[in-house]
Amino acid sequence: MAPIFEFTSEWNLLAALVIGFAFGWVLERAGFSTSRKLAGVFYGYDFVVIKVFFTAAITAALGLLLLNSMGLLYFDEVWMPTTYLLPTIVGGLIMGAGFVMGGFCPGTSVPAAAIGKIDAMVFIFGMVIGIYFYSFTYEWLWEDLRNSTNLGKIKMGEFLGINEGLAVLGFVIIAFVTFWMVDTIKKKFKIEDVNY
Amino acid sequence: MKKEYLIGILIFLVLAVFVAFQGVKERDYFETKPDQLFLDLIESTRYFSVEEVAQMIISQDPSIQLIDVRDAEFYNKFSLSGAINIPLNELFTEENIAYLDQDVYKTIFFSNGNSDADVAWVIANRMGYNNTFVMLGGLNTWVDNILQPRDNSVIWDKVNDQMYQYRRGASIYFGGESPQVEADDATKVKTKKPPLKRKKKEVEGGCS
Repeated sequence: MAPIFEFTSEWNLLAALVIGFAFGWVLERAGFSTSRKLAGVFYGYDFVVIKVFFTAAITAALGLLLLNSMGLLYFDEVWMPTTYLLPTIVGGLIMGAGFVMGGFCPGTSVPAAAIGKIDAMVFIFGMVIGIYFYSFTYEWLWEDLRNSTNLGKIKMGEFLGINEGLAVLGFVIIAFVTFWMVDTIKKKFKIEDVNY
Repeated sequence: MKKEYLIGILIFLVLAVFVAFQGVKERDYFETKPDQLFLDLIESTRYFSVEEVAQMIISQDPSIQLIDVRDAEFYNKFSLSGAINIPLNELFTEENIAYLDQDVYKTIFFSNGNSDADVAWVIANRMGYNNTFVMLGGLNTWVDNILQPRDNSVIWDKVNDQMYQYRRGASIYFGGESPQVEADDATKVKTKKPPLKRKKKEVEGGCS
């Protein structure tokens, strides 16, 4: 059954637009358009970001494997990004730094700007400058790094040398242990919920 | 911990344990992708005209197999010479799939019109049997063009004239226009019933 459209189909753009609107709306409704809530995860007073993104990841992973086990989706037809290990770590650190300073990740800044948050607009402006900086200095600074440590289109199970389902089970358990940990930290240090 | 959380965690864990024992399934059958199927579908090379089919039958082309996808009842009344009858709903059964699952013959489907043959073509192509074609217009066009050709050409129209001459030749080969064939083939001329004279009914009800 899936995917409904081929990778090259023009319908992908339309699908992306609809999914993008839905995603932005849900982010805004979930309170992710507030930089204080997002930055809270780094300062230790709000862990909703961890919970939401972890839940999204395990839901998607479980959903994909369940659809596969029902014979509705096969992984050879689903697009998967290539994993470049070192550039991913470096890029993650840079993005993390931007996240702490700006209080937004690239995705959440857009719905926040859409509802008129000035800090989000400044954040997007900075992001665009960053994109231009990366593009213009790509050949001098980034090209070798970006193409290094190519692991190919690898899945978690393959990377660890175990069954994919088992890897997902492990991931689900890690997620719940993390949830329990952040709740315990919150209780132990008596962190109150903040109203924004 | 809230009850809802516990239920959520339990559902996730049960599903995760379920997929942990399943493993990843690979596709064990072939299916032409929709985009490719659509591109093939609008390609005119998937058709053979009735004249081309006639030529192949006359020259006893060994590379084709004609498959009549109509029901046996129609097949027994009239079909093309050398055609095999496999009704559409039996075409993809285990004993008949060997007709499609080969690279030796071009398979040409035909029915009365285009519809059933086209359905057969689409299903066959979706299953990856690409060496299949459809006789354009089916037996209706066959009867019109080969068995009862009409001279549509005007005096300066060489192409149509040649086509007509060709059809005339084919018609003689296939025994068209003889009373025997006309009675046999699918084009039974409808006997005209005398028009029923309706009796004029008396006016009922209303304001009369």
